[in-house]
Amino acid sequence: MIKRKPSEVVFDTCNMILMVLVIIVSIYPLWYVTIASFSSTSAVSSGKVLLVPVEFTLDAFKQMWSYDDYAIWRSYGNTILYSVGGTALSMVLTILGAYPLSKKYLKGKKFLTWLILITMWFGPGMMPNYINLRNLHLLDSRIAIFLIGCISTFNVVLMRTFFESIPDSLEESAKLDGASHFRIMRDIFIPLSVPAIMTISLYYFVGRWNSFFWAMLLLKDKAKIPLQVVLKKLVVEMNANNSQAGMIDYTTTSRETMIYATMVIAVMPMIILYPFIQKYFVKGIMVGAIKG
Amino acid sequence: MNSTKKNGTTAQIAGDRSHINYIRIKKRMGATAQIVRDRQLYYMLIPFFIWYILMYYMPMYGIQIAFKDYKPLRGITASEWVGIKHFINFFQSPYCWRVIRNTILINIYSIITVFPLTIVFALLLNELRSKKFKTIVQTASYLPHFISTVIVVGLVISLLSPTTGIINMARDIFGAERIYFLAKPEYFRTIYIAMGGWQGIGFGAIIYTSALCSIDGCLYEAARIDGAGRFKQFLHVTIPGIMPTIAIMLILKVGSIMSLGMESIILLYQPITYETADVISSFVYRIGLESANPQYSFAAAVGLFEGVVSLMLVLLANKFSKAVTETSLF
Amino acid sequence: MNFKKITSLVIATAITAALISGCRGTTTSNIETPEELTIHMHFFDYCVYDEDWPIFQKAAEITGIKLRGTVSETISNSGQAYSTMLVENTLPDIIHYTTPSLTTLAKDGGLIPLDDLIDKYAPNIKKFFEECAVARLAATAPDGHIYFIPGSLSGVDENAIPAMGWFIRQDWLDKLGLKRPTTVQELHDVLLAFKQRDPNGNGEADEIPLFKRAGGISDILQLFDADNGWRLNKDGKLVFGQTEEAYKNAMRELAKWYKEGIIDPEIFSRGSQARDQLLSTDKGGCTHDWFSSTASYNDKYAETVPGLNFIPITPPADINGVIKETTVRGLTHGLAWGISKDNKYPEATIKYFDFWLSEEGRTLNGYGVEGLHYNVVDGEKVFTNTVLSAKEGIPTYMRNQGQVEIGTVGSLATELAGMNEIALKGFNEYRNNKYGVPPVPPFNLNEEENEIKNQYYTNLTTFMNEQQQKWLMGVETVDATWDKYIETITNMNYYEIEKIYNDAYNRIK
Repeated sequence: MIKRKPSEVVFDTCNMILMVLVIIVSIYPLWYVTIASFSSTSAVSSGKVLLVPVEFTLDAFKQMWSYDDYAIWRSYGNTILYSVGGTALSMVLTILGAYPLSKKYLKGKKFLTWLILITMWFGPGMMPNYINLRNLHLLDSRIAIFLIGCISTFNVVLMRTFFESIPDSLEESAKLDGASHFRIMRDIFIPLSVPAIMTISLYYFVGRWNSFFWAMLLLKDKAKIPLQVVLKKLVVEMNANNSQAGMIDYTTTSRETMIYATMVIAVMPMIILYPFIQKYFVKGIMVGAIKG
Repeated sequence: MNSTKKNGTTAQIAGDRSHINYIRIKKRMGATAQIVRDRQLYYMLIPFFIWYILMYYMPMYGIQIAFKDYKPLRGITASEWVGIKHFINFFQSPYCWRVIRNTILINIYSIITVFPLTIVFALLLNELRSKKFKTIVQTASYLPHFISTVIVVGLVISLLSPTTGIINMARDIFGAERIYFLAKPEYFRTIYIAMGGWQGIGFGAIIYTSALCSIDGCLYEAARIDGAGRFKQFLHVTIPGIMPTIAIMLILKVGSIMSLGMESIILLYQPITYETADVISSFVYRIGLESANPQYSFAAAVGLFEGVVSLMLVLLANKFSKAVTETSLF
Repeated sequence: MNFKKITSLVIATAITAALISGCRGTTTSNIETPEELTIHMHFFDYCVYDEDWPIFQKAAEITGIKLRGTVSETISNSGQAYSTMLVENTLPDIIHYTTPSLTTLAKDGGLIPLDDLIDKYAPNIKKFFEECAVARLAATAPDGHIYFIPGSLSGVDENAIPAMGWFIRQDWLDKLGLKRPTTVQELHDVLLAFKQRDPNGNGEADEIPLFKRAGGISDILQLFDADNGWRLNKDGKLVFGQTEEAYKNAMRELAKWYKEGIIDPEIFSRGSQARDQLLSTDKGGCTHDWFSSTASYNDKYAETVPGLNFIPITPPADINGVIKETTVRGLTHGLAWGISKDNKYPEATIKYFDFWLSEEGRTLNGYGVEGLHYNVVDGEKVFTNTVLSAKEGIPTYMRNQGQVEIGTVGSLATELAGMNEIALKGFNEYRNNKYGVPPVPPFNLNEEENEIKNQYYTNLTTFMNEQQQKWLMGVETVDATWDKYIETITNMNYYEIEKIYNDAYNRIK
């Protein structure tokens, strides 16, 4: 161990302190929401809740449990469906696209690649997209939610890069044994690409779990709505200056702690999965970085 | 992580050698024969491209509504052509400049604050001596990236709430007046960028961290032998090592200066903060889909304007970077 | 073909017979009645049709038609709900929304004309249009047809029933030895005293003398004989309030009020909980709001703020010495429902609409379900205890039971039942003295006019409202920028809009 100079010691200490601050800033807001959801409304609104729950209560969760005919749970189920099913679909399509495009000998590869790359730089825009979904009769349909954002061109490029990094010799020898392209992909390339597949699945999953915009625009049927849309309504209500509030004599009740409780259950899967997936996405980014 | 990469490189070389044979085979075959031979690969591409056609190329057809007066009950074809009327309306409207200005300003502010902070964070992280502590910091700092926009906005709203938010309660204790931050146009951009920073700095640093990892250890060794201290090593090895990555990221950022997603904006703004908060995409959303008198075509025109300008900016930034730093995206 | 003709003739005669004999509902057998119709109903950003509403369930029992809502309440913006519905491939059977939007929809071919249907199948609707000319006007499109059925909130017999009134902290007045303000000048002095003489006695000037829950300064403008929207000027011409000289004066004065700390600095952003926030913390002094809910705060915060006495007062006379109240209910509530082009059962639907305008339907909307919401005691309808003890307030409670603004004539009963003595006293004072200023009667723009309006109107009003905030908060002074302001709105085609509004208005005069 080389002895550190005093200036280095100062730097290292400052750096440590700074990093501890980073940890606090990153985690505290979530911690606050969690403890607030277990505290009484009055304790939260009087600012007593800071580090641990005050006046511990499960009222917020009880309120959430029965909110609007169990809307939270129904939408939770939908979110799981859209995230898990959607991610699977995304992965299948991404692999099916990335694999052929990773072959240098594929005729027309350049043109086909160009066809998808262009989507990264220019899009049709919100209105044409919306009208297109209308013309496809996909408004208020679960299929639309699965299809929107199903393929991310960026992820296809990542996947393709990873496939390209697998030695061609493996493919060559399998070919000599008479294996078809499909079998080569299934038996050789996919097993070798597990880290990349995990990473990209994770990207898709997080994206789907957290998305709300198109679901909010397209879905009208209560039974199909995902959790983020319900949350969005609650959150916006909290911030809203309802311009129409004065039109009629209507009183509203504050649901702040219930919103916190909902947030807690909405982030829960992420927090639980987090330690397991954390190690993957560093590798995943590496895949991209090697290419860059 | 380094070892994985090295293995990859060796394998790559082996692969390239065997590839030579393949090319030779390929040369002997005609194009049709090749396509027939690889037909399975093309079958695979079918569902993939169907998706691109459905969700990307078909909407392209709808872009024409920017030049029409689209009425949903009539459909695209039967709606009247109006030329560039909607574009003229947009350029003449007082909101044209406002939404362009807000989009660009928010992006610029974010480039001059969040962008360097991300790099600084990655560098400081790199200087940490304890591996274990480094992992803890990394784990904590990635976390916000995995929280949904809706929840992050919810957090911001409740932390800043004039009545129950901790920030205002703290102000109360110190005798400062409570401020309804989200209703003040002058605070909006700061809040928005801080929010983006909270969510993005930790995760954004990954790319620099991996760039830092891939700097050859020999370079540091050599610098040490030359008598360079830690700071000198940092200056002469680390910085040049990540420069290409910084350049690429900067091109990306500058290229997308005209576009800004509306997802968090529409959750965070209120009519009272439109002055500083309304960006092109939120404007498109509001006039096109949120209004009771939706102006579909006008919104499509504004969206198209944004798309075209963004595309040109990406191309320009790329060209500029090619000329100056010899790094480019494509 | 012939057979069809004959049947319809038979139906028509049967209906006429039914009309004459005054009985109801025995002739439906020849009309194909679906079990279920779909409805789009999402308004005021949070009122969304709910199948569980007992009032509508009762209606389904009576008419045999159940309505199914097509829009979820998870959409928190009515405009978005409406505009995305329009793009759908098939429209819901019934579309409920504001009359201007429905007029546009009718013009685009989204609604079917109802005139013949009403003639044939809807005696009650006919009667309603006869007894209420304003409703008929509101329903008549520029092309002369009727496409939707409007409704009335609180009966069609009395115009300009007050909606809101002025409330002030009587206990503060007493404490400071002040008299109730009777003019705008006195109101100013009283509110200034609230700010400066520490009526809540905590040693800080943290009082917010004048606050509002919604609408910013719109209602306050009437003190200066100014207005935030369309109104008739002295020459009987329609003008937009924010372009008048009176408005300029009002803004000059109000900016002064704002600077003196009389007006809540957060008046535009305080939000729907404003009364709770400011009364429970003993800070708010005066507001302008609905009688029923505002009068309930004395009891609600009796413990937190001992002696709280927030009561309605006679409107302070405006700068011209006129005592008046401009926030009144119009005869129609501005919402309506119509039959969409994709509805397969227009006859059954119009009969369903007609039900809501029958005595039975009106009672159902006005009082709820017998036995559940009210009982008849000595020939009078009396609300049940469940309703009377609703802790969210009776109007809110009944709204969540399905008492909403549809094509029917409601009653004041719910609101009156929900008023405590304080509210009743204030309300009756305003009502009996006829302080209410009748609103501009409803009128409809024709196709071209509507086109022009849609193109310029939103931008224009947004600009005006933003400018209003700047003036009020002292970012700019009204005297320095008024001319520029008028120039800008002229460039934004204000005068064109004023002209089309007057043309349309003159057509109904």
